[in-house]
Amino acid sequence: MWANLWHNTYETALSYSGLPWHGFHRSQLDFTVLALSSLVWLVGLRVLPLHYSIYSLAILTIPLLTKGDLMSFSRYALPAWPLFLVPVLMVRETFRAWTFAVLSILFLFFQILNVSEFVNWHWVG
Amino acid sequence: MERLRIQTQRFHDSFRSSAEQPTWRGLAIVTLAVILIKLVVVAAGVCAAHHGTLSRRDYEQNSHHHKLISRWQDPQDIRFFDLWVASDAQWYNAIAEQGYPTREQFDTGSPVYNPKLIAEKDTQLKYAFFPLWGLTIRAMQTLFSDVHAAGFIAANILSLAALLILYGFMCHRAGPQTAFWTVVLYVASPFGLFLHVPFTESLFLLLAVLTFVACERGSWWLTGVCVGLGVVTRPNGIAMSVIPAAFVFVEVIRQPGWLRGQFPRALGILVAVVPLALFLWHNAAQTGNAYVFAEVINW
Repeated sequence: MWANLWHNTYETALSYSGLPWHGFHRSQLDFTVLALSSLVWLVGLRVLPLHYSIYSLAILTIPLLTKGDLMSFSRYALPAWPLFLVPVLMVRETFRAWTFAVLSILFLFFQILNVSEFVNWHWVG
Repeated sequence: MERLRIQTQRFHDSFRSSAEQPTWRGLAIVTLAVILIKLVVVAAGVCAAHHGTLSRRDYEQNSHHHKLISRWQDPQDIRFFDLWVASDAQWYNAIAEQGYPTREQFDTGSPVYNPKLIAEKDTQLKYAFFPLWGLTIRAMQTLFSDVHAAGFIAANILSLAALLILYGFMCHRAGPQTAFWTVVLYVASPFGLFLHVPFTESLFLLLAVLTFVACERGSWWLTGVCVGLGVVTRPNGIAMSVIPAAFVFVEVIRQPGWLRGQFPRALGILVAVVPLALFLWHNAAQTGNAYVFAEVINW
């Protein structure tokens, strides 16, 4: 279990430059999602109720502990919905509409790229 | 401990400072936003299917299949509901239509050929896919007999329900503006596509959000039902059991003595063990090993 955690975090970080951008078992994208999620989780410790943070931590760490690679990590992280609350709480109400309209469009663009791969049988997650 | 209690109370108070009841107008706007995003993604998917390049290598080598779709023979034969069934969705469809194999039906090394059919190759791997999503598809098949249509429609109904409940819950906790943007960011996120396709994410999200709602309303039997169902939705569904444990931890820190007031109602949470117990019993009856899923997942 701890060997999986060590491999999926530290060793994958060390080998990041040699990984393919997105692949079945080895993927820069999955590690990038892990890094960003971890960062948002840390910020969330300051703004979220504690049980939201604990739930998100469980969603993020269970695949890291139980699997020998990061396959599908980006999909497994999706149920950690409190992480999406963190940026919204961090931005002042007056700036939210523009900030998150732009961010949502950017997100949607990446989701469309993913769905384009998905429907043509390429690996997504 | 006192410092932790003060900090927990501060989070609690600041988080609730702009809380409001959700309005019908707010619910209508968030429903429209979610449906619009879903339509854009689905339309983009259909467009990409007509103009993109198929990865026959992935289809043939990297995935198992419940049924071979006509597009495999003829790439131009694109059927809407077939588009959304890939990788894990194939396993859940197979579970919905054929159930789990007995030990005698386990594949003990049949020749490798591609594409692989779940009914013939690596049949025991079905146990790595927990039963509730397959059962949900099966239930939806009473309305839509095609398994691909049933899965797609169930995933979209459940994800819409989950996101609306999340919006209402967040309105109560952090206000409507925060709730709206949280839901929109979530559904638009790059891997949000798994809320529109027949994977477990929609059902799991619904159960996770309902668990938060049930905990904060002090409905322990509903918490137990949601956690129990979440655990049999996917192998890492065990994360759901963390929600009530963490909630109780926070409340005990915030209000010492809070737990005493919860008994005997809190015993309702014990219903959570029922779905997993049924799944273990089923596994033992089928294969002689209640923990056969741990065997095939290599836990």
